[in-house]
Amino acid sequence: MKAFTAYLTGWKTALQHWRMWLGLYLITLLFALLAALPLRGFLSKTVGQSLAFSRSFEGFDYTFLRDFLREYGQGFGAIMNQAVGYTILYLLFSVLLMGGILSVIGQRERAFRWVDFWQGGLRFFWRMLRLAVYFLLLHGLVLAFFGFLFYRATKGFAPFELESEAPILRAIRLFLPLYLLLAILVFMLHDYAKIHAVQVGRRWLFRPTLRAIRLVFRHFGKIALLYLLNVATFALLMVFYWWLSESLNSGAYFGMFLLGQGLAAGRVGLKLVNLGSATWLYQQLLNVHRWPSP
Amino acid sequence: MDWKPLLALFTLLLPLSPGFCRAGGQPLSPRIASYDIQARLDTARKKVYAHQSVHWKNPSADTVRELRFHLYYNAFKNTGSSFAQELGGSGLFIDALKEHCGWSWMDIRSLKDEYGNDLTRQMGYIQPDDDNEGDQTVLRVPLPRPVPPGDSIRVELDWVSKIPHWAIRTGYNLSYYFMAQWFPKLGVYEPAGTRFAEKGQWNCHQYHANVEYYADFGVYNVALTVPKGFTVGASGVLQGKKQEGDTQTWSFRAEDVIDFTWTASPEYVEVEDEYRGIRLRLLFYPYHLHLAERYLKAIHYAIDFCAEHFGPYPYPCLTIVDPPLHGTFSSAMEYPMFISTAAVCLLPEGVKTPEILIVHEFVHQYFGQVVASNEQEEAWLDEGITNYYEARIMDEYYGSQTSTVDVLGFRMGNMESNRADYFGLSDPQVSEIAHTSWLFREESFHTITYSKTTLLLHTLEGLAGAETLDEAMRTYFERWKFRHPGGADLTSVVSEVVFQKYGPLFGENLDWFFEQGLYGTGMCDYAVAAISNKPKPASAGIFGELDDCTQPAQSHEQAYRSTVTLHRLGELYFPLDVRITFEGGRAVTEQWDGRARSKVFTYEGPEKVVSAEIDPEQNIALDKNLINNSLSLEPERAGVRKRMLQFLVWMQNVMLSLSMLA
Repeated sequence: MKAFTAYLTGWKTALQHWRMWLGLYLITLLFALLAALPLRGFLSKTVGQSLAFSRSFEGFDYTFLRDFLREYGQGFGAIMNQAVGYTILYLLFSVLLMGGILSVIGQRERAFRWVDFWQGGLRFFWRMLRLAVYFLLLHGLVLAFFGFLFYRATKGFAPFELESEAPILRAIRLFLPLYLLLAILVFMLHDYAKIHAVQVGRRWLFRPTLRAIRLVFRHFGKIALLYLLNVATFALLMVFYWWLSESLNSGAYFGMFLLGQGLAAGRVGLKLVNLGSATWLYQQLLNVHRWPSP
Repeated sequence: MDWKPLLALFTLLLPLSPGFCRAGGQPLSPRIASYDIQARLDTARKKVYAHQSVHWKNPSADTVRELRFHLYYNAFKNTGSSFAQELGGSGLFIDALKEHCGWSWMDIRSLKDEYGNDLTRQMGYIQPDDDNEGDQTVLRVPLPRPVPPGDSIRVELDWVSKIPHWAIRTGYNLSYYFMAQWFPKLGVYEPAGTRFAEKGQWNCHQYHANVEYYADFGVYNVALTVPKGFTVGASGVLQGKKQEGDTQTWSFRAEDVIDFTWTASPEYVEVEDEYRGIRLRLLFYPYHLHLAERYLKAIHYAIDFCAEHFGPYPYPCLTIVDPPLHGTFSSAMEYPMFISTAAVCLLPEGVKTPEILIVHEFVHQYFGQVVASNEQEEAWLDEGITNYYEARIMDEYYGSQTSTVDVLGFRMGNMESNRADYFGLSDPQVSEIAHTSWLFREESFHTITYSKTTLLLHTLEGLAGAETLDEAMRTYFERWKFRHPGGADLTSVVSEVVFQKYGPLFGENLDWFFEQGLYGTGMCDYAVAAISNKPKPASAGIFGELDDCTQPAQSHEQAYRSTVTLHRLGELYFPLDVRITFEGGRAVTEQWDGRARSKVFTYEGPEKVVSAEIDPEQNIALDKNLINNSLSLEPERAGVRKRMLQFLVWMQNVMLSLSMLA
């Protein structure tokens, strides 16, 4: 039952820290806005006065898309490159935010203050960044491992060497779920490693990470069940979004935009729920009730 | 009464009945080159042992002193062949031949004429195209007794061939055999006046990588001995099967065809169908069986369309081969009464590759097989026309925006994909369509030959109308079926039909159109450069009496002088419509011959021009940028906002997804 209690506590934490929720959503919006704004001027200047552009809203228009990319691809490419730059910047900023989130939600009784948030973010930035790099490498290793297994099972993915597609399908059916499970496990470990790093507050990460891994495996049932609940909530949110967007008239673009914002805010909220619930569970399992004061 | 024995007898005799195979009917073609072949497939040695009898009729007024045979399998003998060199001596197929020592050859052990003369010693390889002495794909056989005009000759050959380990279009892999261009085949003796021939000559090109074959019509009687348990599919009508020990001999007869191709495998399962009197035989590997319904639907559409637009399919049957994954080298091929397609077992319904290939290869039965143009020299003539009708059929039956892909909201029609292919070339001006096909060295061969020709014909459809173009193609088909037309024969038929329909509207002929599209490399791009609405200046000056400077009464209504400026940015020109829309929604359509580099339409009146659009019906498929074809005074602000907001939400989701790694 601890997993369910943790899950509910996660929600409580997220709602309790609604200002942080709102702030994180606005930061996401700001970064996306920086990336998307140049598109407005670009479209106005290039295709805004073409009737083909007006017609392209009647449905997916492959011909318009190809003409646009061919004729104006260079300018559009520059905007996309800029967007990639903002995304990388956002990723780095997310590392900073992560430290802030974890240091704040561990102090459940204390009222939310932005100063605590930013202080926590700055304090744990390098640790969070290193952890992100390690786990990124771990994700890479897992992917490479399953890629290798797939490659071997399909004779080097050489269609001309195979009797049929059956070995490819078998390999996909076998390895894809296994890969997904392992990737989810890595995400889970990453969460607890981050929580542990904030809790112990040490500069060196190797031992805290090992401890976090040990914790996850020792209480695997509870931790996995909680993760499953969070993943299921995310899936529910996506289904709900898909259902609403299907029922909305695609011409109502502002409605679609608002729905998109609902999704983005929902995703930010679920991130807080996930971290809040995992932190609570961690504290319960280790009998720690709050982070050491910064 | 027990009907079973009678039914069994009837079933046995059915394939031999005249109605079934049209044996003994009036020949459809001149039957210049006919073949009787008895071949044995040795699956252990990957060889074919054969005895072949060739009957050739001299169609010219010349005395012919030699025969020329294609020995296609020698193209895969080593890297010295012209075929291999054109592939750069490497690549997927050549590397596979190297890796498995899968090189092939064709060795004629004995060659005699009907008078008993042994021709083996005199025969020798020639290289009419490129003087590459390493190429052994054309065999010249001098005849001790020449063939007088209109006379014929029979030669007997014994030959052995080693089958390539999956070469391009032919070969074996595992237990799958696809036997195309597998026997010594005569070239075409073109009498003076045929296509480009100024005097009678053999047209027998070496085997080139880009293009496949050109042959005369004839009758093929082929007996194929394969291991017991193998299923054989082939051009022509199955005449019977005979089992002897561990082997089984399958006998086929194909009349009035230019080639004979077959396949064999112990894995095949069959699906049979009959549609519009055509017996359809589909050969699958078991795990593709679920695709049968898709194939049948597509072939029914293609049969219907072709029958209604060109005439009935002239052969009694059609075999469709769906190669296994390891037989993909033989995918997407067309031979008389025999086509191959391609699919993978989990292909989504929205990816129409199998349907596209079925339709394409079936249209080839008309353009390529029956109208037997020379693919090696003018590939556009069969591939281009076929590709155009593939797009027409696919778009008509599967939707003009969904006939190639319709998956997860991504949609692409067939004509759209041709347009994207052509304009997506790094240099769409690299070559003209009517470039000699085997001389294409650029990778753009496929796109220029298939896609650009498709767009050219689609443009012609836009100008003259689909009905007129179809009528022209029907006339071309009727006039040239079972013959060998050249490009000029097609263009003259089209000019003739268009002139009959429209008189001199498009000129005395369509040379101006084909000169640009077939023989030129120019691009087409029209643009609306500007729209201007200025208040009409008040009238001033002397209008009446020379000494009377009284100004005429001015109307109180505001009037505008509006101009619409159009530019021709590309080299190609076509007559086109221009739609001008005024405030209040009134629209006028202007005609422009499209020739001048710039054209201005001027209007005076109380309404401003709000938008202009060149070619509003999108008749000019060759126009490379449709976005600049129109201009609206009022920018589409809501649209711009919509796209920007969509992009914003998309960016938010990408960022949030990536932040999972933080």
